[in-house]
Amino acid sequence: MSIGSNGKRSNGGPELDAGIALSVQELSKQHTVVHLLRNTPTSSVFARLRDRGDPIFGGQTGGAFDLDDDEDEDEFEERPPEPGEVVDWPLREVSFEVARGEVVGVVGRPAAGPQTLARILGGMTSPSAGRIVARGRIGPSVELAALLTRRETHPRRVAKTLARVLGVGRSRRREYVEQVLRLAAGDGPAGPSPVSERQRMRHVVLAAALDPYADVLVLDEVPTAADAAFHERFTERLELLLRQGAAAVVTSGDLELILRLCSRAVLLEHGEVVREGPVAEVIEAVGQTSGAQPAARPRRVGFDARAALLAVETTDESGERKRSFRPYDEPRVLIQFETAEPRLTVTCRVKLIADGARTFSTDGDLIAEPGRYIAVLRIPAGSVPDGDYQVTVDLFVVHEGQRSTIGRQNVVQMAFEGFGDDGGTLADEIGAPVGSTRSAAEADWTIEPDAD
Amino acid sequence: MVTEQLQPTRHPLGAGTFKEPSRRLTVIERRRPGVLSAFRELWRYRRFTLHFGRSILTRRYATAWLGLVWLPLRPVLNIAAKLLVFGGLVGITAGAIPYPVYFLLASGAWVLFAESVLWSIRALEMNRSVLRELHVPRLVVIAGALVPSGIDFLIHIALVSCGLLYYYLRTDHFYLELTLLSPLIVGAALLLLMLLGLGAGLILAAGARARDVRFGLTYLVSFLYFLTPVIYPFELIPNEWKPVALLNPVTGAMELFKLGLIPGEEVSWKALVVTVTAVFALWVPGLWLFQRREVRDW
Repeated sequence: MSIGSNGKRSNGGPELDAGIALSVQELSKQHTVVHLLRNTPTSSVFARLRDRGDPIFGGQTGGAFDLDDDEDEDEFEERPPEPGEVVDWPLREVSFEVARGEVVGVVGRPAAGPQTLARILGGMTSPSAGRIVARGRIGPSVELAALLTRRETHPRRVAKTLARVLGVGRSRRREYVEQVLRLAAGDGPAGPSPVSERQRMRHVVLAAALDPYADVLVLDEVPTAADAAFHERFTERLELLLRQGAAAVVTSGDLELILRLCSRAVLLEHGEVVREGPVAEVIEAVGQTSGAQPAARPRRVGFDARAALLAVETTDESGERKRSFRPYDEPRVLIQFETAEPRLTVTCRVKLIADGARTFSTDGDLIAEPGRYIAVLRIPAGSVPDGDYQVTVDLFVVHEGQRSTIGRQNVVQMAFEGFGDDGGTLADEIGAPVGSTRSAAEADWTIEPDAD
Repeated sequence: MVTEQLQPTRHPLGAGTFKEPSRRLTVIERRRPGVLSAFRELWRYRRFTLHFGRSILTRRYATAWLGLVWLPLRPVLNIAAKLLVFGGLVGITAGAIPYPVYFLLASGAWVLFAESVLWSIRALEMNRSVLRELHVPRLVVIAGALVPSGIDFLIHIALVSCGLLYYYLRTDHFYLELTLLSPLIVGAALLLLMLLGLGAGLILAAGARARDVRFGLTYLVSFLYFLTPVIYPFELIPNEWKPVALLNPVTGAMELFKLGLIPGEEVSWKALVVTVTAVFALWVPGLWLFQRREVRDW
């Protein structure tokens, strides 16, 4: 059974046509983001606790208690937002079907909903209304696999943990683990791995998403072209599984990959389906509506009562999303975040890690008022040696003298080409080694209110 | 290059062959509030329960040089010290059976309760960052506390077995009384202890900030340890204090556990009523409070 599903059988319940692997039926998802600072001095302690929510519970208030557990209560009542709340619909009555052996891409601009769909399919959250019916088992999303194994330090342990949690039977577990590890590492000659430890772990997580026992695959992330060898293995395995009858839903923000992997696509706008059809037509429609490649939906990476890290992106000077940079591109890291508390000290930290050996870090600080911000770190051309970098962004806030981590976003990779191996070090140019803090004035940071 | 054939059992005709469509349907629907729903979810996410329980153990001992060796070492050292003090220096006796056997049995039952309470609160804190991203029912995480407490209980049972073997070889006498009803009685007692532990954890985790509660609870549980007949048999309590001792909800479950194993034990129905009432008193408002604190818009 898929994680997060109700696991109902077909007798008396939903039905699917024989050739259909997945049916998304009027699926809606409502987010109620509680503005968590309603703790006026006059409110009682209990009311303050209730209204603020608890970080343990996601910083949001709870649901109703229903002893009757009424199964017939299918209607989702749209609740008007209370003062201090913002109601958002990442998905609104989304319907489409995926046939067996088919790959469907779900694309959309920021806040359009592909990520939320992947989270629901992957069992990380549940819909507010509508339903998804799948024939057989739904595989894990990359995000879920990464989340469950983020403290693991060894690829085999990652694979074993996923096998256990995802319900791979004991008899198949060893085979599953071997397949995941083989796909992640390849059949190359034994010896030191050409990729970094962090990349190896990432490969295992991505390989686990191609669950050979799943009937529907959820690919919310796929390997980038920069990671050529693994990308080839990944694509071949995906094609093999598709030939064997699996279906796949791809929600990656990379339109080139969507174009290459998918036969059909669904375009979401403001959570609703606006276009569905052959992938080339839909991609063209994306270009017409946005004028550029759609970025992934801002994901609430982490938040508490004070702030939220929404999205991280790597772009060139023109704002086009990129992973691979040439010297004239003027690479930059864009960090979108939101704060809910007045006079809050917020720190964005960007780390670039290459092969686990060269690590650079720089901080950008701001005393923020409630609202959305966009922080931009410019990486001066010629200052970065060639290579692949893992980019990690952390958001911290300082409250009552204590610094706490709000969220962390790992951008898959930034690759620099043609900058020269003997270029200056990033640390010299824009920041300082890990552990030290620089003010925004010293590093090449700008942090401004987000006009959008 | 991927050339291997995937799962010959699932794809008998080999790679590239369309496999038979599954007859089973997976349905993902809106999460429903309610008590029955909560228990259904607990079953559905049972693998997460084990995962969270296991992560408690690995994270607890990951940074220790001895690592998982501490898992049996901690209860062994704890038991050894307490046996030396209570069985040796203080000289408490347990009637028909040797005091070490009695103490190990009672301690095993106690850790099942006490560790369940403490870990159910700690588990939410330890997994807070995961729970921000992953909307699994929080009850699943609380139930994960049964993994470390269950392992501690099994270690105690292993020690009891060693003790019984020692006394059997030495005196040719098996000190426990096992009847056909024993598994039933012991099972009921263990269930009550687990429900008491998780229920207390549930209501405390839901009612207030977990870290504040945890700091206070450590002392409360230590105090309760001395009030419960773990170190001493219930018969050693002076008669005028026995009604007060019966008000302790752990006493009933503890005495029931002993009744299933130790010859000559008795259990007061009043103690059992208090225990069962406490289970309901903890779980009904606990679930209610807990669900209110869960994310509304799953």
